[in-house]
Amino acid sequence: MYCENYREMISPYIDGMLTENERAILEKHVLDCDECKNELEEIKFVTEHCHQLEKMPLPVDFKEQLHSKLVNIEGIRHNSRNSS
Amino acid sequence: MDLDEEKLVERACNGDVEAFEQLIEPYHSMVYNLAFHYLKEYHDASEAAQEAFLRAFKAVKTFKKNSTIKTWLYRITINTCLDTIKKKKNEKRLIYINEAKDGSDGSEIELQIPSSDLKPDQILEQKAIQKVIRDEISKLPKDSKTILILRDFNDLSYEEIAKILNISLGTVKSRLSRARNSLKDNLLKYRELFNTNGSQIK
Repeated sequence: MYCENYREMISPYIDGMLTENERAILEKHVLDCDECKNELEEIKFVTEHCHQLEKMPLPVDFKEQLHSKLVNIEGIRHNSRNSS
Repeated sequence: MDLDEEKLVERACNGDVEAFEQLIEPYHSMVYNLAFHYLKEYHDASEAAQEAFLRAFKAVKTFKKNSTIKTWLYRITINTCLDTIKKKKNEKRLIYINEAKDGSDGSEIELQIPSSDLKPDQILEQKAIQKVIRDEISKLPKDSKTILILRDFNDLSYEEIAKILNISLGTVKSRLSRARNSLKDNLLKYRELFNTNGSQIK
């Protein structure tokens, strides 16, 4: 296998989506290949940072605004059902 | 879908707003955050998230019981956000044609990091890192951006992503791999910022 093939295994490796055998193959390769080892570390690092992105708090008036819009839509539907 | 959800869906199908609100309440934050990743602006994200829920309400009769509310809402939200982006692009084009300038393209965001034990300079670094990552994710091509948001921000499984995007597990795997590689390559230019945080970007 070429390094390119091993690199395709990195992302599923991080997610625990490789078989035990595939995992062992990749782990053995990165022990011998510094470039693939760096690649693994970098992608792992970026992935961890993405997982750590903070959730944005919901705007305070979100629920009220949505409620008004839903009631409005249902009102229009109700009226059109009654008029037809 | 559990029995409670099934009953709520049934009532929502008959126009019961309260039932629909109960059904979607656990997903408010998820939908809003998904929209925020696409639109990068509080007001736009809020409008798009609400629009997604309105679309869901209008289409609740088409909801398939063998599906889950979560994947259904994800799909609607992604489509709503992509429509919003398209609409905004068209509006921008019109503004350009008319040579009108409103002075803001809505691309700047102020991130709110919840209070923590971090020192002020560390909070600033965290803010900067988070902004850089969000910006770089938003610059990725549509497919890469979507898959990265679903997996690395929303922690969805490969199976859930495959269902939402209607693609095979193999495609999820390869698309995610490509997306992470692109993001990593794009982040290399910020290596100094990450290095101050003990990064491993070399």
